[in-house]
Amino acid sequence: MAVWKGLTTNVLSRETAIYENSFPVEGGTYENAGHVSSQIKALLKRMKISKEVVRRAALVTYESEINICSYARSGKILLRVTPEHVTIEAIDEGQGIVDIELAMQEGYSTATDKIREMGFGAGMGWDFVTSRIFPISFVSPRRSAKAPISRWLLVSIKILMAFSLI
Amino acid sequence: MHLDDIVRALDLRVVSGEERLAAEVRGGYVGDLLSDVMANSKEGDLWITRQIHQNIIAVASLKDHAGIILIQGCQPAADTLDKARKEGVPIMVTDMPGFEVIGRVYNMIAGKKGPDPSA
Repeated sequence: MAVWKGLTTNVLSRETAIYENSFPVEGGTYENAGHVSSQIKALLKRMKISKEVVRRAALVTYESEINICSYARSGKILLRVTPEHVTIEAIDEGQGIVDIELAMQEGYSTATDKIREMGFGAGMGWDFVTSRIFPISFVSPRRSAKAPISRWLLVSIKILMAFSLI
Repeated sequence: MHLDDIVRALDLRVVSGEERLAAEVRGGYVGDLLSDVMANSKEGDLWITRQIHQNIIAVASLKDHAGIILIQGCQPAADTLDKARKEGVPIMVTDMPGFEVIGRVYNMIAGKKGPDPSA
């Protein structure tokens, strides 16, 4: 079930979807965190998708969800299932990342004390996604360190991940 | 090893998921960092933590853990308990410190699996 090598968004978009849905995620609160991951896990299980794909898909959805809850104003998770792939795309409306390379390093985090007290923000999430899941694309407009924190970007992080079913 | 064997041996107080105490415990995981638990724990693990907020239920449920032990007299928050009951996730609480809980659970699971062949 290797993730992909050389897989592109063009290849993926040419595949016919057998299931497609968008799940909204509320930012700034952990009240419903994990709700979308649970829904996606249950859906994929019902589609009889392999256990390993379900496990990984639930994990990356959860990390993306927590990221939206922690840092964004709002966001959504798009799930697309074709006979060949399960793709998960997380898009959020947030403040963007000042230094993407730094943000990808294990242990680096800009989390507040409140986020850390909850057991999040240890700087493991993106590192996990990029080092073990290898996203197809990770897009985030670089935010100037001087930009006001109240400036929200319509697409601050857009990450596309796919799992092969064949 | 079943969850109710551990509940009895450690005299744990079961506060939710009573109906799932027959679940098989395949291993254990210890941690308060949710990202770490999400990334590294396994299905059937018994998770030992002192986090009490409702997100522990999402993690335990997503990872198909056998249950959660809250150590050192920690009590689940009210919304955590509601969610755990709704999703049928067993939460067990104990006054024992983490070190002792972990040691005893480890011995029970390791003992059941037989002696370490590498020893």
